[in-house]
This record gives sequence, C-alpha cells and structure tokens, in this order.
Amino acid sequence: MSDTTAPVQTRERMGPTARHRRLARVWSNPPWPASASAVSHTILGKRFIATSLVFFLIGGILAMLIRAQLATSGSGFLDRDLYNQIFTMHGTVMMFLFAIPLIEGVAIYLLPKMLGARDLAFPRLTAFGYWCYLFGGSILIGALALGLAPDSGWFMYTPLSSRPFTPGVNADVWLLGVTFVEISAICAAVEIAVSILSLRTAGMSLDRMPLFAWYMLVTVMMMLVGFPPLIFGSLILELERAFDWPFFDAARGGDPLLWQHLFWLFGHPEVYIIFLPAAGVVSTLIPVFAGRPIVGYTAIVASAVTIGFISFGLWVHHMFTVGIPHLAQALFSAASMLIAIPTAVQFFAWIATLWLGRPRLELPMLYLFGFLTVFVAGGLTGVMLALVPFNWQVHDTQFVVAHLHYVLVGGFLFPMMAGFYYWFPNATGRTTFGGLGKIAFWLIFVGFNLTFLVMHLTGLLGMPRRVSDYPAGMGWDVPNLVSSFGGFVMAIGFAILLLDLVLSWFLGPRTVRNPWRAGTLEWATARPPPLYNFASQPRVADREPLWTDPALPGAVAAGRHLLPGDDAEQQESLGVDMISGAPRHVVVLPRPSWLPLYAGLAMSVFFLCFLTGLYWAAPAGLLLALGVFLRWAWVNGERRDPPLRCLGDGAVLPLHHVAKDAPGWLGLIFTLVADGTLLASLLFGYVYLLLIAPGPPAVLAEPALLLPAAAAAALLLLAVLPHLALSANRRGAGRTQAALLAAAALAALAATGLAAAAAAMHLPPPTVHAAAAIAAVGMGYLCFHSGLALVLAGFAVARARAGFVSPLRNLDLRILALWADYTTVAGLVLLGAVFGVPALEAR
Amino acid sequence: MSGVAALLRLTLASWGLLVWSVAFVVLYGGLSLGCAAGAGQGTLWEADRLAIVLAAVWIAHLLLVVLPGVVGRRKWVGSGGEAPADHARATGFLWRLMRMLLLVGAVATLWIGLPVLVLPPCW
Repeated sequence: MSDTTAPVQTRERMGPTARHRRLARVWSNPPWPASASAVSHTILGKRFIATSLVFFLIGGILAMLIRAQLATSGSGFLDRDLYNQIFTMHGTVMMFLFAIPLIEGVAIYLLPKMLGARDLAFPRLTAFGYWCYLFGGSILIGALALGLAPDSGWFMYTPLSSRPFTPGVNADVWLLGVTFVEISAICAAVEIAVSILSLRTAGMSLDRMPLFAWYMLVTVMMMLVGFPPLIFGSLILELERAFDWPFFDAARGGDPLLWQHLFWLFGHPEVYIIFLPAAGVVSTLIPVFAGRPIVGYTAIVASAVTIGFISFGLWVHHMFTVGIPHLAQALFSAASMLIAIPTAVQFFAWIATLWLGRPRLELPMLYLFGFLTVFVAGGLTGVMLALVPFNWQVHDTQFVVAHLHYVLVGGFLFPMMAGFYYWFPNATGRTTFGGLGKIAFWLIFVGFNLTFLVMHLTGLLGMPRRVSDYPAGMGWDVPNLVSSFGGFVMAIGFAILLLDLVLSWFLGPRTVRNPWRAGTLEWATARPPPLYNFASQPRVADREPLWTDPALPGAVAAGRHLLPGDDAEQQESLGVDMISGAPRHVVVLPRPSWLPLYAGLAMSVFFLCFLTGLYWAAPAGLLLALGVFLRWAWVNGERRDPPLRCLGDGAVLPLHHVAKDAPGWLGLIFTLVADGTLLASLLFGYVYLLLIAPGPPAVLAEPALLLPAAAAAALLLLAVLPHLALSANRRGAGRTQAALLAAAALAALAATGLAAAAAAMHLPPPTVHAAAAIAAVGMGYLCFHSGLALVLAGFAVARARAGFVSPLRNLDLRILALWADYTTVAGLVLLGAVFGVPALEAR
Repeated sequence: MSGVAALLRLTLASWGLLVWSVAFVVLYGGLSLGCAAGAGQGTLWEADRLAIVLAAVWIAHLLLVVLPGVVGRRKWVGSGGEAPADHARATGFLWRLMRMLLLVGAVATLWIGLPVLVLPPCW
C-alpha cells in the first residue's frame, strides 16, 4: 500500500446494466474514421489477425504461382527474374508478415482476457506496433506490385544481396521493410512481457497462470533476444549497400559468413518463436476437450523454457556446409538433437491428458490431430537434418523445403486453425458451420501431405531448391506434378476455411457463453467481449476458475469482484505482484490516440527516405518520430499525487503513477534486454571481423587515449548524476534536483560530442576495411544512446518544472537513471573495444 | 517482492539453462577464437592443448550448473509480502521449476560437451 495520505475515493452501488453502460462509456472507441485511433487490445488484436490473413492470402497466391511453374519441366509460365521475386516474397510474407503478426494478434487479443485484465500494459504501443507492421508490410507488397520485390531468397545471403550483384532496390526493400515490421515485433514483445508479468487479475500467481501465457512469456523473451541480431545484420547490410561500408566484402576484410551467423542467430529461434505460441494453443485446447486439467503443468513450463534456451544453440546447423571445424559442427548437431526432447515431453503430456480424460472430437480437435501427425513427421526429419552427414547430402535440396513446411504448417498453422475455430465464438458471439470446417480440414490435410510428403522424395532424388526450371528425365517430373496438384487441393481447403469464417462471422448461429465448457477466464466475458472485458476483475484461486465456479461470469458482471467500475472515471486495470498475483496498484490506461499513427508515419518517412536514396532527409523522419514520442510521454502522468483507489472490497491501492514497479519502468527493462542483445550482436560482429574473418589485416583506430578517456569520464558522470537527482528528489530538494538534472544533460552532451570527435579524428574511413566500418557503427551506437540520454535529461527537467515530478511521482527520473546506467556501461565497453584494443596493440 | 527482485528470481529459475548457454557460447567461441589464433595445429601437444582447455571449461560449467542446489529451498522461498500463502505456493512452484531446469541444464551441458572429448579441434 502507498504511504500517500490523500483521500480515498468512495464507490456507488449500481446494477449490472448501469455498470455496463458506465464502463462502456469510459472504454468507448470513437466511430469510423476516428476509430483508427483505437488503442484497445480487442480491436487491435483483431486488426493484427485480419491483416495477417490478408498477407497469408497474398503469400498463398505466390505459393500457387511457384507450384504452377514447377508442375512440369521446361515450364515457361514465369521467367527466372520474376520467379526469384516470387519465391523470395513467399517466404518473406509467410514468415514476417503472416506468422509472427498472427501470433502477436492472437496474443494481443487473448492475453488480457485470459489473465483477467482489461487491457495490455501499453495500449498505444500496441497501436504503434500495428502501424509499423502495416506500413512495413505495405512497402514489401507495394514493391512486389511494381516488380521491384526482393529476389535473393528470404534469407538474403550476401554477397548475392550486396550492391554489385543486386544493384536495384530489391534487397533494400527487404532490409528496410522487414526491419520496420520487426520494430513492431519488438514493441509487441515488450508489451506482452510486461502485461503477463504485472497486469494479471488478483490471485493469479505464476503457478495459476494459463499455460498459453507461459508460452507467450517464453516466446516474447525469445523475440527480445532473437530479433536484434537480424535488425543489426539488416542495418549493416543496408549501410554496405548505401554507403559502401564493406562488412561482407571479403576483399576489404569483410565476410559473407557474418551475415549467415547474424541471420540464423535470429532465424533458427524464429522457428520456435512460431512454434511455441501454437504449442500454447494446443496446451489450452487439449484439457478443454479432454475434460480434465493438463497433465504435467510444471513439466510443460520447463519444456517451453528449455526450448526457449536451446533453440539459440542450433543456428549453425544451417551452415554445416560452409567449412567450419568438425568439432563445432558436432556441438551444434548435439544441441539440434537435444531440442527434440522438450518437444517430446509436451507431446507425452498432451497424450497423457487425452488418455486420462474423456476426449470429445469437436472441430478444433480435428485440426489438433492434424497438428500431432504432421508436426511429429516434421520433427523427425528435423532430427535427420541435425545429423551432419545427412545434412550435407540434402543441403539446399527440396528435402529441406519439405521439412520446413512440415514443421511450420504442422507446428503452427494446424494449431492456429484449431485456435480460430475454438475462439471464434468468443470473438464474434457466433459459432461456425461445422460441415465446412471439416471439409476444409480434410482438403488441407490431404493436400498438404500430397504436396510435401512427396517433396521429401524429390529432394532425395537431388532436386535443388530455388530453381525455376528443371530438366526432364531426372525423375523429378512426376513428384513435382503430384506436389503441384496437392498444393492446389490445399489452397481450395484454405479458401473454404476462410469462407467458413467470413460467412459465420455474419450468419453463424448465436452462441451460448462458454460453448466448449472451458475453464479459463476469456470465457467469463460477454459475447463478443466489451472493450473493458470484465465489469469487475475476478479473484481467482486456481488454474481453471470457470470449472471451479461456473457462476463466476455472473458474479463478475454483477460487480462482486474487484474494481467494479461503478465509479469509474478512467480506464483502469489491476497491477499485481509478479510472483504471487497480489494486487499492488491500479494501472490507468490511455484513451484512443492518434499519436501511434503519427509515430508510425514518421518512421515511414525515415524508411522511405532510405529506400529512395534520400539519405540526407532520413534523419528528419527520426526527429519527427522523436517529437511524437516526447509528446506521447508528456501526456502521461499526473501533476498532483493521486488519491488511493478503492477496489470495491474495502481495500485501497495507489495508482501506478506512484508505484515502484509501474509498467513504464518494467517496459524499459525489457527494452534494454533487446537493446543489450543488439549491442552483443555488434560486439560479436566486431570480434568476428577482427579475429575470425579471412582477408587483409584489420585496419583499427589510431592509438589515442585523450578523447576516448574524456568521453569515458563524461559517461561516468552521466551515470552518477541522475542517481544524485533521484536522491535530491526523495529529500524534496527541488532546486538541487533541477541542477543535477541539468548537469546530467551536460554530461550526456559532453559524452556525445567527445565520442563523436574521437571517432572523427581517430577512426580510419569506414570504407577502407570492415573492422573500421564496424568500429564506426559502434561509435554511432554510443552517440545515439548518449544523445537520447541528453533528450531524456532535458525532458526530465521540463517535466519537473511542469509539476509532473514529486517524491512520490519520480518515474521520469528513474527512467533517465536506468537509461544513463545502460548508456554508460555500453559506452565504456565500446570505447574499450574500439580504442582500448588498438592502444594495447600499440604497446 | 519488488519488481527487480521478482525478475531476478524468475531469471535464476532458469539457472541450469543459463549455465548451459554460457557453456555453449564459451565452447564454440573458444574453439573458433583458438583455431583462428593458430591453436590446434602443429605438434600433438599443441593441438591437444586447446582440447584440454575446452574440456576444462566444460567440466567447470558442469559444476556450476548444480550450484543453486546447494543454496537450498528455504533461502529461495523467502517471505511473502501481501499474500503470504499465494507467495509461498508460487515460489514453491518456481523452486520445482528451477530444479527441473537444473537437471535439464546438467544433462544438456553434459551432452553438448561430449564431442570435445572425442574430436580434435580445428579439424
């Protein structure tokens, strides 16, 4: 409880209808076109899902074009250049514009409802992520429409994707479009992590959390660690293409293999980032249709965490043929085999749950059986590929294409389709026409196996992947024709499934509440759920609250639980202790806002300037975005210490503005996890280019100490001063606080200026050698962070002057202090690497 | 429990796999840097020296994995704050999770390091 002495708000009594009206007014969203400013997780979750399905349709049409081309040898349906664009875009669209955003959409829509919360922790960030996704995806699809789409394969290997071999904008479209979409993914990851850990309902301790939330927690942590290597790789490849910085040019100390490392550091965990949420869907559905709790809850959580870790130790199995030592191959081969075990543990838990329960073969279960069979087959060919000698034999053949489709379609698409049918009544208040769903399943299942089971054979017969044509008489004609036929059968199945969903949305029979007799809280809402989800936030005492207390939805609607909304004036949700789920504070959530759209548009300016070669104008986009974000942060907070909030059961809690573990604070911690991984990728690149890459000896910085040492001193000051300001804040010494904040701003300015001067005076030109180029990137990273520290310090001064800061409300200062700490540590490491190493060598 | 302490507790629950990750990075990184520096070539002793260093690193990590088992459950569970019963049950769950992951981490570290004993580095 807070030590604030402000008066307690009291609660009026009202009936369920009046309560609903009041909450609906407080949580209302404006009508179209102003509804584009929505920040509600329910609306944005649906937008993510709908947009990802549009991209799925586009990716599916591209797949049909590929199968049409490969149906016969000597086909003249597509020319080679166009075929290259189409297979590249098929992979890119399915991975980056369909799979990941669909996961995000499902999680954004479902998680607050499953956790008993009213929204996610950062609703405006959800909206910003959506706009980044939509704009980034539109860049990629727009380029396809113009015939300028990426054409170097979805993993963009250098040197093929470097300027000399891809002189047009095709590769830039991929690098910039995908990075734009990945910003969206990082935003979603931060938001979901904070929401799962701190925006649950009362009593939902970690051991009572729905398994889907555990899976998503592991998934988003993987996204925070897995995506930065690709963002960093894309950044330096774009720098190479735009400014001739030779990171991947072997003649100037670069190495194309660095790209492969960075890409697969992302790329292999990505497979599990896609699989784990789908496994979360499976772990949610199986207990419902078995009619009993899941077997081995703790073991399943342990398996998910294990996959989260071990999936980062597999990336080199994509590179077994590039010529690395046998021992290194054995390390990765061992890890690749190992990951089958936690996956199998989950399978046994699911089978045991079905075995011990009374399974009902409803439509979602049909799709789950599709998952169980297809994914097991994909997993087994994965173990085959983990074995080095077999891997060498089938490397870059159609066998690999077949394997990855078994894993992704089996491990992701079948569970997600099961999830669609399962949660459809929740989202729409209607049920689907069961017959169409069954027809769709069998067409998809049979069509899929016709396409891809046969493709294993095509690969074993030696047919390479990524070829637009093949000679007759190699034994490849018949299997390719069968694959193409199966592909079209599968496409008809998907078309029927989508038709079923669309028809049912408008015409399906109205559903009862909780039609599947589930135990989790998303079924305690009305159908479809109102934007506030719960009229009062339910107290829970076990993992399946609706099984224990089937009358819970009525009690929630009657306002007999927490924060009943009878006196709601603003959008609120409980903030809880991460471990025990005990309520700690009340989080006030923002109303609809145009700021996320403006920020997305500003980022578009940046990316489009880069894409069109207007490099000089690109910083304007970043400055615009910075301005919008500052405005975004400015409208947060309170100018006076807020009163305690009554929960409705006699208890009172502070608002999050005065809470130690406010969502903004936790959000910064998770952002820094991703930022730290970006730094680790940079340092990995630096060490790699200095010590591992073949080619001419590294060209390093001149051995100079004065400017780097001065920059380091300024950084140390930057770390100390915000903490002193916080100390002054706690003592109520406003003037000292202001002076210390101003000093922190000066320290940040000095650190930025000195680091930039050191780089300008002592680093060789970045075009001469890859090591010099990556050193320049390192100094750019440092200057960006210290520059942002300067902005944050200035912002904190202004916020304090405007009355947003008090001894209780000091989040602005704590955020500055944490950012300054990180900047200092990162800066010292970078200065040591860039200037310390050459100085030591000179001695 | 403060947010930072809770995050630390959650991170430590994965101790077994954190150690596995470090072991993996150190083994692969050590091998790559050692080979780039010219180790693993020349006389048999020079070639084996890198293998011996890698094996030592591997064994050190195997020992490191089991470290939290020594700390004991009582220190882990700690006191409850606002909801002592929920807190005790949830930290008990985290303890069980941690024990499972210690076992997983130990087996995983043992498994991935075995090739160090049988394959020459840099070959």
